[in-house]
Amino acid sequence: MQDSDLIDENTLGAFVDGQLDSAGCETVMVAMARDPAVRERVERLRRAKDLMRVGFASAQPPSRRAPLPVVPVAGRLSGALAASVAALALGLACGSLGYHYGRHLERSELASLASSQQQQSDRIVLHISEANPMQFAAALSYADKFLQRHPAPESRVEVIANAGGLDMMRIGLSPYEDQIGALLEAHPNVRFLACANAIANLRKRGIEPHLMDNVDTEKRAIDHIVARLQEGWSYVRVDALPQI
Amino acid sequence: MPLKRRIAESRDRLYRVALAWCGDEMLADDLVQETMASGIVNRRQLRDEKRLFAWLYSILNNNWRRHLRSHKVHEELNEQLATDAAGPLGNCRELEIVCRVRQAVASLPVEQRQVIALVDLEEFSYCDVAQVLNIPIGTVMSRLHRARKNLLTRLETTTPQAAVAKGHIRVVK
Repeated sequence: MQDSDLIDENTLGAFVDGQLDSAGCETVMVAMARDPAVRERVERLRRAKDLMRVGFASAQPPSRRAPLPVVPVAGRLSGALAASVAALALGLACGSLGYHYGRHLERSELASLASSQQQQSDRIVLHISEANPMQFAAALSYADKFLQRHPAPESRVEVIANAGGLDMMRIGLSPYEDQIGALLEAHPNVRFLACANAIANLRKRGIEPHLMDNVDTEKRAIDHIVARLQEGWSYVRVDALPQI
Repeated sequence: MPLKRRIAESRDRLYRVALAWCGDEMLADDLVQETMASGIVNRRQLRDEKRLFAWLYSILNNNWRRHLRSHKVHEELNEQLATDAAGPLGNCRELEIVCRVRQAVASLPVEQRQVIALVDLEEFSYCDVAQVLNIPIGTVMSRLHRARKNLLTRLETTTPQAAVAKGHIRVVK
């Protein structure tokens, strides 16, 4: 019987990966010396390992136009705001991964965050990440009330949608096309924005989003919101609207 | 170095593995962002800082599995080979080894992709991989074996023998 028949693939794999003890290594090396078939099998495993490294050694994450929303921001901002940015990154990532992606943040955390920031700024960015008409209606109502109580030009409101929330700004899918138009007409200081990343994701799936004409698309939602936070705006998730 | 800074600087490492797992650059970036944010928010749960990356990859794995469930990717959750569809890198015009390898990896079942990425890209021990993915070591070994076998088979059937199978490969770390 050849050595090649005695040593299984898992053992050879463990040898290639440096997972065998010295006795195990010695056994494999002796077999390699005796049997060309064992050498060939080990070479194939090493080839696979090398190919994996070659394939991904140069992989670099895409550059982000805004600073990374985790530590660089945290390093510059106050503790509370830095924590909110980390939480924001988490919430946005949840949204950007899919229409029904799970939540990681407690609603109370978000509400508390939004509430504390609400007192600090008359500029707010409302973020919707789900195709939830009820939430969006509440967001429109909130924006309207907010702008009535905080008149232009000092106050500003931006409603930004990503992931499933994009549907609320798409022609033919959103039941609130008229309400958006009316709100824009009533308040010069409100804007609606759609996440460029969410649009790209839809197009990758072969879906043209067909956004309303009065919806702007500038950049990724996360980049825009982080930039706004750095400018002193307050962040409000529409599933955790504070009292107004 | 503070833990928060170490997590922030882990982006490139996490991204390589995330890309190998999901085969989609944008999704990989989103998964990594979420993992880093979770890591920073929950960093006090990490008892042994030496195990930072094993912990981060556990978070990444949870995020990735949740994503697969939310998109009901049933065909990838079993051990059947994925189809020969070109996938996200299918339109790569340059017939470079990098593109072919990534395409071949993307066609592996997700369980095999996860194991081979952690072992070959991160050089994790089998024990660490078992802990990160919450599977027995024997399963790590069998999945790794199948992953390498399938990877080579796919590369040998989609590329010239001389270019990959018999070629000389220089590993650049």
